[in-house]
Amino acid sequence: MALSTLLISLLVTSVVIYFISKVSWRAGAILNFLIGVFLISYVFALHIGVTSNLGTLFGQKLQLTWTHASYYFSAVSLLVIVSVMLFAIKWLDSQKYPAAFNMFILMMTAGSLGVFMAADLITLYIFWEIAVLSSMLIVPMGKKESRKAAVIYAVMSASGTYMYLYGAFLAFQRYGTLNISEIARHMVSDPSTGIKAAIFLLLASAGIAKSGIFPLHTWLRIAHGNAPDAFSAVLSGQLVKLGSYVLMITVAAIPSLRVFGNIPFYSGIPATNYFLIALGATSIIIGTLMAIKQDDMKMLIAFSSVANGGYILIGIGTMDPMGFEGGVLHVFNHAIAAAVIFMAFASVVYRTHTKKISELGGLIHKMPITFLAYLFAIISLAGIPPMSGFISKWMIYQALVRKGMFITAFIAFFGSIGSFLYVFRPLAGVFLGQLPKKYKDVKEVPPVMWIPMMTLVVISLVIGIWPFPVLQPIEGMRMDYGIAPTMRIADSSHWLIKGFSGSWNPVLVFNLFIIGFVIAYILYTMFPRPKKVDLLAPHKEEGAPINIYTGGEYIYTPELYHYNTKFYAGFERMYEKHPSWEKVLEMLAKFFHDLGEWVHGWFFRPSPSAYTFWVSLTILIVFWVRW
Amino acid sequence: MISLLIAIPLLLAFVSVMWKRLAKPLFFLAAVTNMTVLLASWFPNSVEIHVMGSWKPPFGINLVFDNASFYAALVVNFFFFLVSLMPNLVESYGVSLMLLMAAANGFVLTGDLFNSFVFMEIMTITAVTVASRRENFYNAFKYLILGGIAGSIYLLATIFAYTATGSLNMAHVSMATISASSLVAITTLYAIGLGVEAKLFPLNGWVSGVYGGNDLAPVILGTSVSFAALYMVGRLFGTVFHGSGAGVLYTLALITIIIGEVAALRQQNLLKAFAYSSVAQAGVVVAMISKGTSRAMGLAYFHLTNDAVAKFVIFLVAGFLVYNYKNLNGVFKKHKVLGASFSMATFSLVGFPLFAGFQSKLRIIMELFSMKDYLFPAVMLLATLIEVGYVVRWNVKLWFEEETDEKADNPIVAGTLALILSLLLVAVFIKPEIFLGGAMKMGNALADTKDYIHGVLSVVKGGM
Amino acid sequence: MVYIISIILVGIGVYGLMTQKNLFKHLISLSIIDTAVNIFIVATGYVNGGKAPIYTKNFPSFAIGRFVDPLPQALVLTAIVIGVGTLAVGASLLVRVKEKHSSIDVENMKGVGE
Repeated sequence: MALSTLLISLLVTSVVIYFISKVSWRAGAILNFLIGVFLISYVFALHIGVTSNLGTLFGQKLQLTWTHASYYFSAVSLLVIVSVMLFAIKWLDSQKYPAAFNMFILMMTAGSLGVFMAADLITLYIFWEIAVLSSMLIVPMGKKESRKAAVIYAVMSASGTYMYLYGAFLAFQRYGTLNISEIARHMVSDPSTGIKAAIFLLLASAGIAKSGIFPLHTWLRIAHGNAPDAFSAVLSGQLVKLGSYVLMITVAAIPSLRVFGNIPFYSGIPATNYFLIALGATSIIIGTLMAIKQDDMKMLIAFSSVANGGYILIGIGTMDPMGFEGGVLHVFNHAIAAAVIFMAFASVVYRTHTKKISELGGLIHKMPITFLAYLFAIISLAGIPPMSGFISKWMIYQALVRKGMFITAFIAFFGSIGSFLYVFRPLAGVFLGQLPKKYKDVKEVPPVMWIPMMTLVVISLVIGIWPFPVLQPIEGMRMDYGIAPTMRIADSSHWLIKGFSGSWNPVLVFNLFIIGFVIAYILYTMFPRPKKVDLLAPHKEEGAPINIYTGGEYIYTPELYHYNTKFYAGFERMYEKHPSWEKVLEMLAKFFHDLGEWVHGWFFRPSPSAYTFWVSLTILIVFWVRW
Repeated sequence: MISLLIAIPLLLAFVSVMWKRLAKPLFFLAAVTNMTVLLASWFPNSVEIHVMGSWKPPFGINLVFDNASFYAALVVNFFFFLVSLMPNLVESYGVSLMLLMAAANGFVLTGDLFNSFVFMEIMTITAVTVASRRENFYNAFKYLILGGIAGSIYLLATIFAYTATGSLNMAHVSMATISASSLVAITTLYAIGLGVEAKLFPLNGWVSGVYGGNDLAPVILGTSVSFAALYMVGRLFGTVFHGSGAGVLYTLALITIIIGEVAALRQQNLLKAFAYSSVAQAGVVVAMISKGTSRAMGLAYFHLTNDAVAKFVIFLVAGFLVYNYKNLNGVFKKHKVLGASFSMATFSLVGFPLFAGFQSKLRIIMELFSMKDYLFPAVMLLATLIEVGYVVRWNVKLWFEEETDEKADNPIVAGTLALILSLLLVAVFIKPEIFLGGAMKMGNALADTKDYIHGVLSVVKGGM
Repeated sequence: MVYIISIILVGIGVYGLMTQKNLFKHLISLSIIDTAVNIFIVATGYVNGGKAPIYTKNFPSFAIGRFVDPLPQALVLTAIVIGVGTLAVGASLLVRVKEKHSSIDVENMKGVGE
């Protein structure tokens, strides 16, 4: 099946799925899942270099082509999407619009695949909009807040997209082609740095908006935080990666080192790339600090996505072979981790109907599998070996240190440490600690929901030990883009990832970890276990052990004494009065709104007198100008 | 035969004054006849004229039938035809609609400046009566005053053209050499005179009140009548005055785009919000016409056609909703077909892929870039960004908010029409030639002054 | 001379439209502007010392230079009719405005929201 046929039939099928789901949404969901499985096998079977015509638009050929990058990004996306599709077979029974959900998620899949396959900027734009549009229609299916979230998501995304479109046409006007590799070729020989930089930044802005990089990051909190729970996994795990893909296209497919070789800024990195790296670093700081503050567990991970988007951008932005591979590998790691985390949250919400950390606790005994999935996912997210998350961060640090970018490296370290803090908050608040009384009948989610989570966890673990299946296509991408093509980083015959200052042997490290784990387990069995106490309602239940006292006072508001309320109060106080970028953007929105009010009041509401005045004024001005 | 387009609705209008009950079927009859006449004379591909009273041009009044006026007439009559299919929308406005139809056809077909003034005035007066439906008297009155002023200015421009060239025939005027200062006066006055109907800022104050005041006015005024008015902009500034005064149009149009979108953003009333959006789209079209090349004009009318189809659906659905529900939250849960059509039409308006608006918007931007105009695409994309904001907000509100207990019957005819038209928008995305072919022919005909002059002044066909 | 009259009349009309609060006065002002334009049109057709464009014994042959231009007068007739039409529609609308909003004074009208 040709690539174009595949995409078009997917789009058509999605409408069919809607009508099937109208009869039985579960049948639709299962069909979706089967289509997803088919897509995965299809993607793995495709040969690199396959191209296919989509048609012509404005005399330009619209082409799809299958590259290492499309393979890698499609595989990662499908992994996330198919897991969520499986998850949804059960989860959808808590949702109000299952049929529409089934339709749009398939449409979004088609859109995303199209983006990764696109060989020219307009094809990319078309599928990009399809993906954005269909995902934007799923977002408002959540709770009340999600309605506003959809609008903010659409506008923020559009602001990036339209800048991209302007850049695409600017490139077309100058080089007469829309094909990405052609444009790259022309840009290398184009003498005008100003226009090149404009095209570069305009194209990148779509990626900036989509992957939640400062200054267009604010939609992530509200959209990821309020979207239907399982869909947040797709938003954060997959859709954000569309942005990373566009960033990679602008930085790597257009060989920025050669294009902007005449404006080096620091350590051989051009000013344009450095600008993106600075944005990435800002995103890490903002994402980390804001994530630490959140009480809403989904918003917390949404901000963590901002920070991780920053890592990816920094890694790719260096255009260093190590950094590039690290950044691209981080796409995979963050996709899997975020998907698992959001699915775990979706499971928790599915059972408890709340996403506030301070209202939860102690679910480890009720939902052990979900807990385990979450635990492994955050280990990967925080970048601790032996999970795969470590490898990508390690590679990025390697690149930063080699380039001597110590400030950026410091920020990256800071983000890493911060991520320990924020991923621990839901761990402690949701799964550990005391179980509130109202959740004493909560059960583990059914296997349909935990199987996808655990599958992803296992994949992440396996890749952490044996990362070469993922690193191989990344190396292929690097060769495609010609970033130090003679250098080999992944050396699977020696089980090594070769860095500049030493190598990493993931298998060895894993074995060490196993040994450490065994020792710890032995110690754990040797020492006495802690005793369980009842904290939250000592007065409510007769016979419950009362061993909590608060200055002899009767406790009316036990929630306030819950250790999860203001979990990091001491730390948060350090940046309590931080400036809020969200407020700045809100002011901008309000400005347009007020402008509309003003326009309406002056030109549209008034009586005939005012109309006459404007007509006369216009005549006078026009005559004055033209004479 | 082309004069039938004007004569039949006019005649039937007078007949139905006597037998009021017949107004609705007669309107339908007029619409069907006009469509038949037009379909029978599909794209003339040459300039045909129909002289009145055996006065050979440049004397007397003549109707000009070329690709441009054919396409415009086709679009105009198509929407009248659609309206005539919905009896409950027509109600007691059959006579007005027939007169409006006659006037709009005349406005499009005429080759005489003064005659076009007459038709424009008739159009304004009948449009005012249509606008006064559902007791929207004050807004209709405001429209009348503004339309009256515009009419006077248009008449003044016509007289200036007459004194400068000694002729009222468009072809003849376009041949004449006009002194620079007269040309400035004439084109400025025409720009202002047409600006009211073409919804140019700041002459468009009437739009929100009239479009927002009832369910019939936006459906017909926002589609047919705007198309006729914008056709005349192209005819006058493209064919007759060879792009003189285009700078004024361009500037006003760019301001119109931004103002329209900004005003739409804050609007709480569904009909009015999209009324403003149609202001902005008119701005896009006028700015594109002011570029003057045949491609630019063709794309302008392509965009206008897409916009008119989308707006027809939007206003049809919005009119139904606004006058059947007090609270619009989540109404589309009860009217899925209407909702789907509305969403598709609004997405086409924004220019999302899969819908017609994408084709025209992208082509326009591309054309502008190839003309090295970097400002207009930026304005257009900024406008689209604002558009995304309110279009998504309305869609989310109408689909997803908590619904109330209000209930209204599904309008079957309107629903079917809306669905067919919104599917047409999808079809245009896949095969843009459906509209693009005709629009490009229209653009060519408008830009080709020589052919027009030759056709009008040397060939005489038909006659009454 | 006649031009000046029409310019003054347009000025009066525009002034009336801009300053008056009574909607009927707006309509009258519009009518004044119409009339002014009509006067202007007639004036453009006038040729100094020209005669009425009628063939008589004194003007047996085609004598363009000495005839006034007849066309503007024909145009004015049409324009006057249209002006009357506008006036009639406006007046009838005002009757209904008065019924609905209980006044035709812009400042006293009730229920005129947005």
